Amino acid sequence: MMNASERNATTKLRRVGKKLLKKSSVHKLLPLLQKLESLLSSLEQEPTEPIQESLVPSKKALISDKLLRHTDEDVKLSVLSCITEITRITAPDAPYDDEQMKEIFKLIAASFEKLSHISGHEKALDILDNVDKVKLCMVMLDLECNDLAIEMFKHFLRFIRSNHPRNAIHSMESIMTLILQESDDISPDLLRPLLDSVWNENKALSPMSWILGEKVIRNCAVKLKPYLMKAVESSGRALNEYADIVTDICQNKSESVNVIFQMVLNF
Amino acid sequence: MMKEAMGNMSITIIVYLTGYAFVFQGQDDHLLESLGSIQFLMKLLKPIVSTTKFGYKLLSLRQNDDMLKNTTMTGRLDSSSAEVFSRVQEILVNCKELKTCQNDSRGRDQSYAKMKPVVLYGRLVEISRKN
Repeated sequence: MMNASERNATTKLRRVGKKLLKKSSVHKLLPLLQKLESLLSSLEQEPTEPIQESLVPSKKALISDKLLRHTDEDVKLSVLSCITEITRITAPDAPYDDEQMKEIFKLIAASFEKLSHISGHEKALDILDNVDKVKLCMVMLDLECNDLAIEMFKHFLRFIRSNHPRNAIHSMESIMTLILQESDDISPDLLRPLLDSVWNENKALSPMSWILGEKVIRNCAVKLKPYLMKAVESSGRALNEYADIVTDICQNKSESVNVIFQMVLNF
Repeated sequence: MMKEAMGNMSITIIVYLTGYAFVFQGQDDHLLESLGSIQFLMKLLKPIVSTTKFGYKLLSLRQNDDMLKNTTMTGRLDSSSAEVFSRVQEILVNCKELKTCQNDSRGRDQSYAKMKPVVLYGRLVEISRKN
């Protein structure tokens, strides 16, 4: 039997979901989406059956072309933010079928371009947080969306700013590390933005990008070792034009250090 | 770049932390018997890790396993490196036990009283959640 809190949540969820299907104007959609996001963020994972059922109208509305392809950028970001909340709730099962998830990942990757904005990137940060929180990129890798992984890398390394919250910067690092560690194979195209970030001249041009790239490379030193030297050679730059960590990995100097480093991390 | 001479060690370890490099070099085989030296190294390497980042720690654990297997399979560890790893492991275990004792003496922290599973895509881990 549902308690009062659960009954209240299911009622509100159904109501908002039905309204979303009927509204189309921006000034009506945005507050509805905000309300939905607030409701979703209060839900815990592995919800009860009544909660799951009450999510259905919203799930359908959010994946509809009317919302997912809405012309207003703020609406699209809010829709994506709600969808990533739903992925958090339904983990470890994806809430939509494979083709729908691929479409969602395209939009998620595109949303990270908003990180470059001085203001108005809050929704992108919410999306970033949810993607990191439940390791959603595991699904992306399962669906072989490798081009989207590359796009994410490019956005993170190009748009990282010192004014981004620390948890956001950590999420970028975590997502990139996860993608590299969980990839069966690492393509040169995936390594290119990483190498570009730790090119010595980039240290002055984009110090935050340099730091992020260096951290990710260090995190994945063992995984990257078979691929990194070839990527350096393909880049047209000399090995010593990159951060020292690249040289250390290519010349097999970093393994001992990283083993100890990881032992301490695990402590 | 910052160099830190740590007596004598028979291996060279270069550690990069946020742009600083620390180099340990030397030839004294007895150095590894020095608890202070190993504790210094551990303190140098120990980062601040949030207690809510259990997923991250699991990822690190996986990395660690991969690295250990990698180094073992390739036979690249020399005897001195193996001894360093062994010493670091021993100290980490001892410190963990000490921390456990300290926690017990103070009673359980209420902020960790409730453990809530967080389901990840691909794995299930526990994090502490404040009441």
